[in-house]
Amino acid sequence: MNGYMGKILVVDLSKKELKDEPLNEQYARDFIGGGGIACRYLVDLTDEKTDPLGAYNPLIFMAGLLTGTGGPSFSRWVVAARSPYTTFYGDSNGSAHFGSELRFSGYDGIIVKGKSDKPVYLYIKDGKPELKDASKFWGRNTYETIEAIRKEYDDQRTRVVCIGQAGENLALLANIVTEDGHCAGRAGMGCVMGSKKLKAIAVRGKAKIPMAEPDKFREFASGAMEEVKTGFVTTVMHDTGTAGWVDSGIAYGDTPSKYYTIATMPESTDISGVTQAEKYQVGNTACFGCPIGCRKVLHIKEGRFKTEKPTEGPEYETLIALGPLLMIADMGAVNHFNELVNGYGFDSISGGASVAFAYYLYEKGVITSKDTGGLELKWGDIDVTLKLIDLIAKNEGFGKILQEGTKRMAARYNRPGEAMQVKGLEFPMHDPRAFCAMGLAYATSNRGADHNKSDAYLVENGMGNPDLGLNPGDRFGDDKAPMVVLSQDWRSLTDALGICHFAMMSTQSIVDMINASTGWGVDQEAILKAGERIFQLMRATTCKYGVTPKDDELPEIALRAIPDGGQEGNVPNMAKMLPEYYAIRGWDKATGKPSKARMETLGMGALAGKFGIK
Amino acid sequence: MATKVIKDRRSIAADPSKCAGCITCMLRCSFRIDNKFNLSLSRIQVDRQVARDNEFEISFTADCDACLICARYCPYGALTATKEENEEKTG
Repeated sequence: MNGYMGKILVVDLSKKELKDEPLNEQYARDFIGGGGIACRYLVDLTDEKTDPLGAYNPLIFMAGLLTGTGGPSFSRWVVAARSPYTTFYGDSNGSAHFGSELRFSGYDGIIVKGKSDKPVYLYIKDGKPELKDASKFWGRNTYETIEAIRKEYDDQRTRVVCIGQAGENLALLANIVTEDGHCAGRAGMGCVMGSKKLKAIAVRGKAKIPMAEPDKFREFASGAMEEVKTGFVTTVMHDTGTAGWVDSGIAYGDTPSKYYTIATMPESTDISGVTQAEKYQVGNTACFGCPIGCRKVLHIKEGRFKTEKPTEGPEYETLIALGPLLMIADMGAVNHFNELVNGYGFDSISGGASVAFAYYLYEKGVITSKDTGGLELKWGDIDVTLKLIDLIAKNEGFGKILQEGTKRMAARYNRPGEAMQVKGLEFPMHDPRAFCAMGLAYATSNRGADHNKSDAYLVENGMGNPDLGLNPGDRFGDDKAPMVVLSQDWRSLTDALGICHFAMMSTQSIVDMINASTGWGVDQEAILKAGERIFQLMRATTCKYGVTPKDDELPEIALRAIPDGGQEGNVPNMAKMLPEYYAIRGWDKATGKPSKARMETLGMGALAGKFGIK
Repeated sequence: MATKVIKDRRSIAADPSKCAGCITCMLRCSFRIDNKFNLSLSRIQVDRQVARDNEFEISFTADCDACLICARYCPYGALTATKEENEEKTG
């Protein structure tokens, strides 16, 4: 089975059984890898009754088809399950070195079923998996856990994913963390892992990825490497990392501030990528095979939050969600929040948004210090934010409310329409009033508000894909449905391949590498169709878990115009874009499900019955 | 600074302070040797002794023949190919 290790590990934690299974070749052919294959297995293993925190919700780790090969930034892996945070389809995409080493350890993926009665971790060395006692790591943060497991084997090249205290305490927004603060951040996958008492997975090996035409692959990968190295996105990301977007975001009104009630916090420049490069940056680290190196190493040498040693700085999303969204623009403080949140292991976007929503509700008098356990919530208060981060990770006191996310908070405090979320997942830090296409992307993405399945804000900035016709347009326009559909199909594909979004290369290079690796002989049309197949499979799955068309609406607060600043008073015209989008997708207006005809076109006709599609 | 020099006057100079740990060098080296991506075969080794340390250690195994492929593909300028090395220094 060229291109794949051809094997997955199935772990049953209830029975303490470990079993190798061949990777389903048809699933691989149809759904490529990563989230595509993971979702296909999820369809087999779950239904609408599956309890997200029950023994029957599997946690599925899957590497991309090209992960671990020598192409540029081919490092990504996906973890998927029914989400306890949203209750719908959940997946999250991670990086660093875990995905590649998972394949070198002998497997394309791992399906974890059941629940352990005591803390365990999974260790795989050269195709030999073992379940080990993790009681000594339980209660420790993610950084300590990763280091302790590596020390156990005296090997820094053992690659680890783990949960922190948030996952252990079943905080719904808990995530899964790997080295250098890289996270699979969204949709509560760490909570599922915690419910199984699985503290970590560690992998190491020297297996080889079989290829149909290795020499050709090397040639194509070298060409792709040159394309990425010399690309515009690489230059920006290499110099300033994702934080480099802050200055652009300020200009566009794209950096949400004061819980989305003002377009920009002027002091945000104090935490921008340029400021970081001038004052704090001491180096960068890179994921497996990546020439970009977007992860910046910062050293805060002065002030209350100075650090003894350099640390990996916050990504753009964390920088804003735990910064201007709370009216904080203190680089030391945000860097410290980032350390805490990554150590505890929870989603910095949803976590920051929950804290900010609490500040917003407090200011409006909807909640008082009686609700917060005596805490006075004031915009920009660093000390209170520190306490709230702590309470979320411990899942106690007011943190018990915050860890549930803003959709449940809005219901609890009877403020429907004011939580900035779709399907229960909070908006990432790109405001749909600055890039109206993002409104449609958030409304329709399968796991909830998601800036990764359609990076329309990058497309509008000329960082799309000219080969596919993903070109910039009017950022306030309402003709965005075709672009959002195409970009979602494209990103569903690149995620399944394991390619980083910032690695911009020609589509032909990707087609060539798929063919040299697998021997399939596919073309651009075929791979895009696979991207659509993956997206529609996830849609049908999330509908099976309960999503209906009303879950595709933006909250009212997202449609409040802010005249001052870069948004220029615009709001996304959802009344026009959403029906157009439904028509292109072939979704039923009443049920929201893909039509039977579309399922058949995509070769999924046989699955229609399973999803109740008639 | 680790340096690999061999008799035909090719050499590779490694500057760990520039290394970002992407291990593209190891991938390329292993692929040259075995036509497969397999880091265990690589004749250049990039390691980190302390987690989260920004410094990587770069070393070469005894059978490295300084083919320069690692230097050619290093995206961070941490490996430099030099052809002007004095033959006297080799050994």
